[in-house]
Amino acid sequence: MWYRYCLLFLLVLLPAVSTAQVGTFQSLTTSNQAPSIALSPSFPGPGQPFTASITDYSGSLFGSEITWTYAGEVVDTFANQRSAELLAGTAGSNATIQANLRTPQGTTEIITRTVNPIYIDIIIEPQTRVPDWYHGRSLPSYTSQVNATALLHNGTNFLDSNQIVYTWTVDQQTLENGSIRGGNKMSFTTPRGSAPVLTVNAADLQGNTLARRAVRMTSVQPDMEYYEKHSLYGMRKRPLQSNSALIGNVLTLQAEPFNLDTRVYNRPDIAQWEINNVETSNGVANPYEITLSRAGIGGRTVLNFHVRSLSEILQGTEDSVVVNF
Amino acid sequence: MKRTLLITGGIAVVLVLIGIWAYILFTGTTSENISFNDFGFGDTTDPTVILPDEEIVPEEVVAPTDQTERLRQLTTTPVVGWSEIPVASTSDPVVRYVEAGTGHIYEINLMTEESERISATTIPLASQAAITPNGVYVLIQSDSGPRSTFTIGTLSSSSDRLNNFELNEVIVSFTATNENEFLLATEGVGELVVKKYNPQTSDISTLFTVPFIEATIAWHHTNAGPHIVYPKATRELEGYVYSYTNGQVTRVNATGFGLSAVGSIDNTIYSEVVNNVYSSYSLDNDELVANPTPLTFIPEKCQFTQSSGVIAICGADFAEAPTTMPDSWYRGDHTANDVIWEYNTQQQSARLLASPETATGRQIDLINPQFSSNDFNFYFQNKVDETLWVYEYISNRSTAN
Repeated sequence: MWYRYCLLFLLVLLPAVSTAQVGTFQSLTTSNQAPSIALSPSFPGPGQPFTASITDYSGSLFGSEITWTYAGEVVDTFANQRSAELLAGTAGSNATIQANLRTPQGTTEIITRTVNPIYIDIIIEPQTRVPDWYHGRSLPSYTSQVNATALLHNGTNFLDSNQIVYTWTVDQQTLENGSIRGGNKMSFTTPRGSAPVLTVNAADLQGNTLARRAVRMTSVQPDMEYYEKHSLYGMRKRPLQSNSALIGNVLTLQAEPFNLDTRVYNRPDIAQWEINNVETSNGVANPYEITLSRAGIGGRTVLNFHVRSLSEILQGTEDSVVVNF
Repeated sequence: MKRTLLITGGIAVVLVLIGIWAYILFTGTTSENISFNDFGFGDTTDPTVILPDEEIVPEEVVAPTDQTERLRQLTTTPVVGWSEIPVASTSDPVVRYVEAGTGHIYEINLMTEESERISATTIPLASQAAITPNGVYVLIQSDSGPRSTFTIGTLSSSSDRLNNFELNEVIVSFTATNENEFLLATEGVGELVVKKYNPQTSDISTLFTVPFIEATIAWHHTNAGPHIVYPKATRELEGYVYSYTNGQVTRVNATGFGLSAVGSIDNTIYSEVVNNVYSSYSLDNDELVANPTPLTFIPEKCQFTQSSGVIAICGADFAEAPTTMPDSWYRGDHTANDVIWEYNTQQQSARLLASPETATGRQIDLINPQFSSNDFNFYFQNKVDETLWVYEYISNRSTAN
């Protein structure tokens, strides 16, 4: 008998559940999802082109006449279009985008959005090896450490990083377990993959996002170049070709493993020279340097250097050069 | 064929050849205008040739001798720093330079080209140097990287010994300014601290800080700036340009991969990799949109004149830049064969000033461009051998006329 009462109870409540569902749906389409303007990219930088689009899930604006206004001026080009291509102003400027919507019924609705372009720069400083004289920047290699700095500039000065909350992600993995106030500098290990994506989100102390940016962080394999070293003038800044000639009686070479983790460079597990496939000692304290002396009447020597970490096997490189003498 | 017939034929051929030789020897002319002897085979010229009515005016060409005079190699040994010393208008201009490896300082008279060693004090493994424009103070870097040491020296007119002492700073970049002071970028904790050092009073003060370490600074010739700062360039990572003037930083609207730049108060020249092509732009510092330059420049090969913020002299190669730029140039895998150009950023025009290969037969990969304080002379080094060169930008001869 009791199940009849249960069934009756359910039948009585069913209309209420349905009403709640309908109500929720309506709230999604009407009250919570009022027409708005979406930007692409979400936070355009100074001078950057961007697209402003009307987002209207309710369909209430069907057949409306649309007039775009940007920074106080009517943009005729995009009249009656749901999107407008615009250009962000200078850093620190404050421009309003306005879409005036006149429905067929004669009612008018105005949607506004403000654009505050600021520069958000992500400076990547890989902790990998390049020669001291090298004017370029080294590149990350797998498992090497990367230092990154986020700089926000409003056209007048850098914003005070202590008043900003930063959220860093690498390939969608959030670093340091979440947002950090004043955390505009971050260190992390280069993940697998040739182009991990580093993203930083900068928000004010109330949680409003000020700017967001993602950059591709190319990861490479270390590679070797050989440079001639002069006792007086230091390194010659052109690498040895794969087949080079020894001029004079003595040649000092420096092996330069570009983009090798600096920790591996400083304490390599393997740092091995080979001459004509025979392991040889370079005879000096610097493991990356070797001096060749002319012997006999002439010939060719295949010189090889191998540097590697045994704990991170991809942190290493090896290359040969032929020296004719 | 009979053997005698062959011998007779051979002798006949030899006699004919001897006859021709004798004819040329005794009747031929040796005029410089005639390359071949006229055997008098008759008139073989085309009688239908049309001669122009008007006299042909030869095109005016830049005489190589003029280029050669304006473009000169000043040293045969590598140098690490130099400065043209202002002298009285009646005296000959001189350049003081620091020799690589030894740190010895020499003075060259630009008119007579006589060279004299004025400091015999050896600074071993001298790798970088700056001399104040008054020619009195010098800052020399010995060795490189963590082994670097920095020596401040004072030149004396009465002795060839440098009065010197070691500066206790971790310096990553430095220059001398028109105020006869040194600007030093020193390494701090996660930042570069740029300081001003007065060698006369030994006063040192902080000018500004750069919030990262891996920075390249394109120094201005004054303490105030603008000094252009950007993360060291690589085609694989994004770069940005900052301009520091009187300690205040502004963000130049330049962002890109492989980005490097040089700037003045009015303009910035920058290059970056766009769609896999190394491309150059000039940007009016008050504007947001840059203009493509008429030539592709490596900004490290450009320098604005001291008197103008819109005219720069650049080295640029006619050949198309390789797709690996700028990294391959930094590594030394790519060597440029530069021509010297004057580039006007306002008019977007470029004028060829000199072709070192045409003028001297030498290929130049121009680095470290630097103007004399009066803009008369444009100095640079050849990256291949680090020798010092000068191009007479404003001719003393034409000024005198």
